[in-house]
Amino acid sequence: MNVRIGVLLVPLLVPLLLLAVWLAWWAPKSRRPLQVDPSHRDALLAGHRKAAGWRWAGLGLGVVAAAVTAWTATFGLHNLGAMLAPTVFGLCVIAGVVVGELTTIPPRQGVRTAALETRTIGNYLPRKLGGLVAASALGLGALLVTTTLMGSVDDQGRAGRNLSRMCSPERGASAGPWPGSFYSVPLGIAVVVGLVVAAVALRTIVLRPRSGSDPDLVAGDDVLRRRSAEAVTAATGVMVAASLSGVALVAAGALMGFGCAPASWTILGIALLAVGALMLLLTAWCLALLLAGRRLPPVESADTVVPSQAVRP
Amino acid sequence: MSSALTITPDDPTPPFEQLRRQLVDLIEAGQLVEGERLPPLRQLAGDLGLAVGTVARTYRELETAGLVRSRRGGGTKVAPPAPKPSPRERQARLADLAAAYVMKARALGASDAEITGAVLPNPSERGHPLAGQPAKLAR
Repeated sequence: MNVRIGVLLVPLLVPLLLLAVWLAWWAPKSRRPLQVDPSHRDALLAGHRKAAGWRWAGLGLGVVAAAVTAWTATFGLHNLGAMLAPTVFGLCVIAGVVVGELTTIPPRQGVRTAALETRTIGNYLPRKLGGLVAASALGLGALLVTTTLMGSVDDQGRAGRNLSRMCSPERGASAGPWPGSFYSVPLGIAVVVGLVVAAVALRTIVLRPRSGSDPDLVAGDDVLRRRSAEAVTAATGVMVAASLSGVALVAAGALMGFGCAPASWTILGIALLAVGALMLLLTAWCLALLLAGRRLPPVESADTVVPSQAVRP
Repeated sequence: MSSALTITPDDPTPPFEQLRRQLVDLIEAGQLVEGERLPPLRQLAGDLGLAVGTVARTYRELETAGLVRSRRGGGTKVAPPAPKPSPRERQARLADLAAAYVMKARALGASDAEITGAVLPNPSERGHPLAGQPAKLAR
């Protein structure tokens, strides 16, 4: 593994995870109790537990798969694995959410009822987080195009892995690793695949059949859908923000450490350093939401409040 | 939209027809007003456990009847109510309906008095909807 990036990753990952756990701990907890008819309570709680179980399974699988992907860097892939690890993590979490949604589809028996409603992704998508993730995705796309255009061949002839410039008509300088086409093309493809999968997952959440049209049931079911949509958005956030952070910090390192860098490169490097730090914060926030996001509020039925049913996701 | 749609598997009426009737009732009763969007095909099919084609057939029939309008990407929305017919058109349609009725009644072998009596069992009876109406209606 390239020593420079390896040294960069470890001190970044540990505080990032600590920040995520701290944010998760302080995530808003108080929720208005959910009024649910006793006849729907058990089904709602069972659906919630099933969805949460699969979500956690996806999270666990994501951690392992991301670690394995990052570890493949030792097999001559020059940190490509570390670049792809956040996308692999996000895809696993989204897969967990989708499986959770599919396993909570109610059985079809007897008279079937449907509310006369139009459900859209917008009904369940967390607006602010969704906006931040979308803006980050656009930023990542723009940065990858820029770094691809600026990249050049490294000393071993691999295209798009170094940043080069002629310091004088006789002398050229080169710095790397640089997130040129060697990294940007596979990363770009992986992130696009991740975004498409996230869109399909959100559609699955919206189209999951309801088990009835009772307003209590619809309200409780909507809480579960919002939680799933939040998890998908947060997983996409990790995918995009962590990738953007990695690309920005590596590019900033190359730009600022360049021997004969023009002033514009230094300014760009400082800006990318700031972007990288901000994206790390967004990654931490998304991880916190995955660990302890929107919970099922206390379920209130007839005359009983069951606070113990406020199951953690 | 707080109404619900129901499908009864034991009902001999095909599901698309059950769905069509309920939607027609909701539109005619004004519970679904002009411009209101019907649930997307896949969503409604999933919620009711029907094939997408079944719901699509219902929507197609509603569209043929002029009750809804479908636009690609814009979903299916309740169409504006059909304009009221002019007095002349109304008269012509009534005449058509009456002619069809008389023809079927004659095929059954009904006499003129029976045909008229079936429409107006006893117009002079108190409380009858046509009581006190001009006699030409009974002709």
